[in-house]
Amino acid sequence: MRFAHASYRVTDRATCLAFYTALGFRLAEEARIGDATHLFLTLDPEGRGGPELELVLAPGTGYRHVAVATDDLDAALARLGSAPVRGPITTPSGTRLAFAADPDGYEVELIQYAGPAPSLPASPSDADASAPFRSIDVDPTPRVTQFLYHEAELLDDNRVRDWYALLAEDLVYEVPLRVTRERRHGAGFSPAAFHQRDTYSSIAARVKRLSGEFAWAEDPPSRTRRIVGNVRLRPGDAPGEHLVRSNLMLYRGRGDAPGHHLIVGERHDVLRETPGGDLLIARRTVYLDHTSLPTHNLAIFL
Amino acid sequence: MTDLAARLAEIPGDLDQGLLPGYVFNDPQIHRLELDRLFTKAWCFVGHESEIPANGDYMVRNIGEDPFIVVRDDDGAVRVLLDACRHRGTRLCRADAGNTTNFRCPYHGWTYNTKGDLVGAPAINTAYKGLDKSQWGLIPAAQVETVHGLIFASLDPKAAPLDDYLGGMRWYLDLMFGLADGGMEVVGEPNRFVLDADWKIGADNFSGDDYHTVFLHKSMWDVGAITIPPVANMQGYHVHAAPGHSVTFSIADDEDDGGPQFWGYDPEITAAFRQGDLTAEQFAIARRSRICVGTVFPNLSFLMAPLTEDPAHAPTGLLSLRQWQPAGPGRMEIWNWVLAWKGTPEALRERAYQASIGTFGPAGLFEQDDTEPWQSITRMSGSAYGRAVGMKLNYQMGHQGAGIGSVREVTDFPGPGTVLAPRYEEGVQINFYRRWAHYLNGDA
Repeated sequence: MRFAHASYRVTDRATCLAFYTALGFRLAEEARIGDATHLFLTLDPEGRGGPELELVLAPGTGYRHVAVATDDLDAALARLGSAPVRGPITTPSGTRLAFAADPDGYEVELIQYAGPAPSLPASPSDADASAPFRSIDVDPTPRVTQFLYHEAELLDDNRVRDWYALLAEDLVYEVPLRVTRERRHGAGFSPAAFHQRDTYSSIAARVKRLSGEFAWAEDPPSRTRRIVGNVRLRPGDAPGEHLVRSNLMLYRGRGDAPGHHLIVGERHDVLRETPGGDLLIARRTVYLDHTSLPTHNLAIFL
Repeated sequence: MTDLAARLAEIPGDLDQGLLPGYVFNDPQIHRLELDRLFTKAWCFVGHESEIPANGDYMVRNIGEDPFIVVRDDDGAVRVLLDACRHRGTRLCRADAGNTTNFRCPYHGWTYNTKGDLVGAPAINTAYKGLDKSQWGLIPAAQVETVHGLIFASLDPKAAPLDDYLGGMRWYLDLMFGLADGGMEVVGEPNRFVLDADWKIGADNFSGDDYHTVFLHKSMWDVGAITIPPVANMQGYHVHAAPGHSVTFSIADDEDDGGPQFWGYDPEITAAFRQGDLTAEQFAIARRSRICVGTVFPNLSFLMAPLTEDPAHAPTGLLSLRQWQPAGPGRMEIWNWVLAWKGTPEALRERAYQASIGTFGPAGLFEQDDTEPWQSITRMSGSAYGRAVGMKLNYQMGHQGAGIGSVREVTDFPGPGTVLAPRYEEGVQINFYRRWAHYLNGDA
């Protein structure tokens, strides 16, 4: 049995890191577990294995638990007798966890690692920028998928200002033009021509216009229904980023016109984790399955 | 057809009064006549030379609704060939563009070179012993000519040469495209999008419907996409340059007006502008131009203007070429090209491209509002009651003889054509429809 970590809630990543690194702690790992970001800090300058702090960016403050690592979880629980226990649960990687309450109700986490205890090499001194990021045990796909559904809902409900809040300030949003090419010349997406190419700033102008009185193109608004599917994730090029591909089918109806427009394509997004545990769209490229667009304008976002 | 002929014969009289029958934008018979009598005779734009710079480069472009192969042949000449194999009529091109040494039919393998000559077929010596290949080349457009890199074709062997067809419009094209030695070139590929609106409405709008900018496009001033004040922007000239062809200039009355010159192009670009082959008067008009919009009959339009899609960037000069292609009755496909001056520094070229697609094109802040009324006009053009009561549309603003408006003819303007000021005037559109009616009545 050895001491693993103490865990409590914190609210601001940057100020917490500044405080603890001033005390000599080093950010050994930053991980996404469930819906929250977890920061693991150690006093060991080289590696892991010693006692750590687990700071969880989550609303509220205060004690979560202290954790001890054990080689035999069942034996440890047996020794605790009648103490209330949550778990044990087994994570996808095989690690087993249980939370036992002490006589005053403070929880102690008991961990039986599936393999060796986490031991990652020390990172360079700029802990904030270069700490290794990984998702422990939790597949982010469901969370990212829910984010895309939420985003589609905002757009379908014409809440463009709320949608705008999901965009990163360095956003690049582009819809490359496509031409029909012979098979040996590829899919025909132009490297030089676009139906739309926007930034955080130019989208602000679009949102401002759509919110005004004279945006005839979308007043009354189109009725849209975005069907987002085939969500595929890969780790991003930068820490805290996901490369997300999804397919989009967008139904668009206007006025009393009996017909509709169907806009179809594949979106390649870069979604970025924020310190507060949210996601932002940092890049979106929409590869349309059209050469000639089947709609009278792109006054809607894809 | 007799009924149609009678109806068409009345149109010139309506136009004399500044009126246009409401049904002309949504009528299958009119659409058919446009294909048969107008697009098979008029000079039609088929692309820009810079889109096919190398020998063997080709692109497929429509004249009316017929696809043609526009190809730079092995000797560097531009050819315009009907995209139909002479054997069974199969289309030869299955890609929009590419580079090739020959066009081979996928059906039986008849093969043509880049000049359109039939050069081979499978087992030709057995299967076609005695065939005179010289009689079975691809059918070329009757005439092809280029002005400032703009390639035009006419399917009518008897059509007057392009220069005669353009008439006074040439002076205005020279004024824009002839300012710098290298001329202009297309950036990327053209945008295409289809909508339920008649092609003539786009041509009509770009003939000089400046009046709509103040109202329909009010949001452009609200977000800062254009900075010339809306009412001041109505200063300038409407030019009926030649039958069918019109151009409208936003030019400040005051020569010392501090607004944009040379359409707001960056000084780094305008430094290369020189009088060259232009007259001093032409060059002076170019210098004072804030905005130029126009239509080369029947369906090529242009816009040169200082715009921005993002108020964080100052408006920049840009050129958008657009073509309103018929795509069935009451339906069109809009083609949109962005052109830049050859040699424009990359950053300026990029900015102009961004500003251009951000204002005109499917996602363009301006154009997305235009396509709304254009579709509803087309729908109402099909109105049964409108036909029953003979609904006429009003193009009488500034109409000569109607006594409506405050427009006056400018007699000391240095350019050709009838010139009117200020821009509260709809004769530019009447000018378009007069030539349209001329073709539809079979008089061309």
